[in-house]
Amino acid sequence: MIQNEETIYFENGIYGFEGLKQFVFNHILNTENPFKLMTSVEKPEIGFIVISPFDVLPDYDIEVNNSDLSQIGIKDYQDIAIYCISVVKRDTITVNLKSPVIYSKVTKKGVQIITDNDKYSVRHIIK
Amino acid sequence: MLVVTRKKDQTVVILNDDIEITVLEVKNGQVKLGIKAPENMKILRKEIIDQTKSVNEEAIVDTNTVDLDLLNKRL
Repeated sequence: MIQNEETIYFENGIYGFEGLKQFVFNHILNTENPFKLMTSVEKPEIGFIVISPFDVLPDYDIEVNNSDLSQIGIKDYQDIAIYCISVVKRDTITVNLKSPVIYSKVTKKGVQIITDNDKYSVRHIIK
Repeated sequence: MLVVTRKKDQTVVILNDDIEITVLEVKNGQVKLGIKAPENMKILRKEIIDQTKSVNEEAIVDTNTVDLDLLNKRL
């Protein structure tokens, strides 16, 4: 299994976890599995299961505020990574498409953004 | 909390941050606000922030036991 890890710094944490500033994203290469793990550096027992929104909806399309882009130092759209947090229950899996986590693959800074419109749900059911 | 009474088309200004909030319409118990603010300001409806917080809290997994392969098989 070939793994590639990226440690991302979240200046403001993520919503509800403002104290957790650093997360490791595990990218397992050569896998069909769309799920990835985002693990807290400060509390390594805490993690979130994330998935690319494009694996959920291929035509996923959001507008990102300029202040969010400049906060994480995005200069080129190619540098953006975007993941959505999943909630896994016994019978359902939902994905928060409204509030994705974005980061710069160059500066390694991230932010959870909220797209304030009715296009996407915080609980988009995938299973 | 500061309480200010405003009528339709009246505005409050938050000076140092250069923000203007204008009451555009009051109808059927709803108030439509127009907000002028610098581009770097994030203006969000509070209930959406609260929803995001509670979904994040629900989403926590224990990294010692989580099994992504098993999860993939459920799709």
